[in-house]
Amino acid sequence: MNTNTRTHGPRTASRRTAAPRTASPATTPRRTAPPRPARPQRATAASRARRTPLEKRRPAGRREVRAPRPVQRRSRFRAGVPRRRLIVALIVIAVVLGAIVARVAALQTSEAESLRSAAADQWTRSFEIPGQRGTVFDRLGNELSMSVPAVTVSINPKLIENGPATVQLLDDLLDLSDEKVNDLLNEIALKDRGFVFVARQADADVGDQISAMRLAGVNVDRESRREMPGGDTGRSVIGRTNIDGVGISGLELQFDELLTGTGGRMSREVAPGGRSIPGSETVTEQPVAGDDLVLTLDRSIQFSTEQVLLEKVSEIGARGATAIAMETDTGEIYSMASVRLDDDTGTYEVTSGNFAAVDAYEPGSVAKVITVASALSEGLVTPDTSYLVPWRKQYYDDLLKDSHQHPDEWMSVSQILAESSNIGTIMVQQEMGRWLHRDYMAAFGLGERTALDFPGESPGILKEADDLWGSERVTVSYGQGVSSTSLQLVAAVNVIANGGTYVDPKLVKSFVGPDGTITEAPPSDSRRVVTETAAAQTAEMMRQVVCRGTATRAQVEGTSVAGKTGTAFKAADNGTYFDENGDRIYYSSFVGFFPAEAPAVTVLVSVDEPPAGTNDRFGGTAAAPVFAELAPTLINELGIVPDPDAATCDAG
Amino acid sequence: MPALPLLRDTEPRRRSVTSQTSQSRSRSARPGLRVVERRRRWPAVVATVLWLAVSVGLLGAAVFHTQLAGRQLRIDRLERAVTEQRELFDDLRYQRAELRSPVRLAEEAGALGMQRGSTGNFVEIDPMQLARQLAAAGSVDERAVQIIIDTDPLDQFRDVKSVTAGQP
Repeated sequence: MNTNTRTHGPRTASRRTAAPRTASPATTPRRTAPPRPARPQRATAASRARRTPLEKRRPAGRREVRAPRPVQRRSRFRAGVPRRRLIVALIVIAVVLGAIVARVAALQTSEAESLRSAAADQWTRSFEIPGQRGTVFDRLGNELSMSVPAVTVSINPKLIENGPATVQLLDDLLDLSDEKVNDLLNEIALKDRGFVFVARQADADVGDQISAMRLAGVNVDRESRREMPGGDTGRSVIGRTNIDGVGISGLELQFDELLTGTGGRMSREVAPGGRSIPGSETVTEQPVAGDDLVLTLDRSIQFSTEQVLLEKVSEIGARGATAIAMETDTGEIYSMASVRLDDDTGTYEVTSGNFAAVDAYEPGSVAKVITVASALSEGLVTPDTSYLVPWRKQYYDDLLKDSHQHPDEWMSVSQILAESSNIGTIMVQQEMGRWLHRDYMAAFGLGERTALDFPGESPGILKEADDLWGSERVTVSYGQGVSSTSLQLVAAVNVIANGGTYVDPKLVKSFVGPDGTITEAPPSDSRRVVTETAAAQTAEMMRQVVCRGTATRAQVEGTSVAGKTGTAFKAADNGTYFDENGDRIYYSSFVGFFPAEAPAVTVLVSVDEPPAGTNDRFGGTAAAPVFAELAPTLINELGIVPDPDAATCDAG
Repeated sequence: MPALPLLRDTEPRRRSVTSQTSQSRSRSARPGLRVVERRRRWPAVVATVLWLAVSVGLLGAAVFHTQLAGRQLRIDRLERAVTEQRELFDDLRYQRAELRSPVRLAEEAGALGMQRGSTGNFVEIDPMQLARQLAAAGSVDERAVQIIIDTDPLDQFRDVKSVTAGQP
């Protein structure tokens, strides 16, 4: 049994341990052999014949396994037990795998962000993208000013491969100036700068063409360009932005923060050469679009206002003109225009500055409305109260005169206003004293900026009554010695049209938020200035001014108009009312409203420096016709249906 | 009945006689058998499960990242498309505003020999004419004095803005 086991048994531990103790003829010589494994011997034919069938299947080399081994060797081979080897290998693999997994987990979690950003820094470039600037709409939702897609083209001279050819190509597409082309060629030759602007706010289509060419060292970045689709319409009010899209004048400046929105960030992949990879832009931080402004302006009325002003100043040769049309009961401004002669080109154009709010002049006779209405409101006079009015009279150190010579005559307050008598108006002012008169002028809004708070808006000049000097104490009653902007003046006279209540002018109707929701602007503040009766009496007097007074050229067919002309002297830079030729400098205006019985619109037209030597220098001849020309547009656009029963000049 | 046990007793005996030689032959031919302890298999099972879990986890992470990258690409494409469409919308808005601007209309009218009217008269509109106009173009305002086109540009703009809120 034992022999069988030793001879034929499988390679078990028991067999190996028993092997050295057995002695068989075949194995004895090998036991004396040196410790190193014996070379396998070729089996003889006899030994092959004695083999069992199992032994026959075994290769000859395997017989060496059964050879007795020294104890030292045997213990060394025990470390190579397959099971243990497998376990050790498994442990090693598990440890290595575990380490790999742990590293991967660390890379994916705790170190992920820093590694990702480090990698991104190598092949991406991050830059700020501005939030889309809001649009400026008119009251009907027509775009007055908006941003359109554009591109900035720049080059990296260090990466340009073929400078002259690249510049030639850019010149063909962007129509660069010769100076710019030379600059670019020099920069490319020097190669000492990494960034040079080629063109700002170029057309987006051209930018797409340049991008598609994938020129080395040429970058195309998206931006926006501010445009006014209606041309210059409303430019005085809306203002403009600089090339970076920042508001620098007008409403663009006033509401710059609101329109701008919040910027975001965008990353772009760059090739090893530094060239941007088109289509690789990724927005990492979403920008928020700015709010949109819905103005009270009406684009059609604004355009018409500007056109009639341009026509008039061109016709009479004035320096410029302003006009404002305002909704009577809400203070919403339908149009606010300013035109002026461009000394460089010799042409009249819509100004970028809003002179209607920025420039202050002495209003002249238009201010008589304030004086008369105040006295009526105080009950000191009635429309029929009469004064013996000379054509000139000494007040303090000045001999003051009416506009035309006339004998001393009894004039009612209505007549004084209709004929625009300076002396008569002083008499009315003296009924209430200059202190109360000054308080009324302040209540009418003179001497302080309006609620529009327009950039650069002038508060005008309204001195305290005690600060008035000499004849100024009385001339303020007819608008000399006090100055106001057109905006202040139209709001002041609107008190009469609005039944004695002052209402703040308003330019912004509502805001459109980033999500498209509309937020209405708060209604204009209002305050009572004169009694309703006084306002109605003054309005009637103003109607007579248009029917029979100095403003007959302001009449509008089919509609009753009330108004008042003003022809003031304008202070020159030399501190006098005369220019370098010795001619007087005039500032003529007309302010009126219609329909007189139920006013809907109040309009002020001012003509700056009408020609001194002609009949066109007066408010009734320079400004009133502009009003008459503009009124049909207002009636049509605003749908002001005339009242057939209303009293007209012919009837009344 | 007793014959059966006899047969049972004799049969194995006879068989054992014949099988003794074959048994001894098979014993000499077959390796010696012994009962070995059952190998502990749980380490292998645990290792296999662990390996499978890690493999599946890694594979899943790879698939997840691939999906994520794919979705991100799609999102980027959509965002670019939205941006392009919004820019197109702005461009079309600009063109419409230009076409409707009083400056252009006045130029076109002037080219046709038209002039601005010095007076304005309100006329009665034939109800049938008004109805035709309404059917073709829009509606009238509350006082029925002017025709309003239904497609208010501001409302269109607000609709688009509300949809693209948060887009670059």
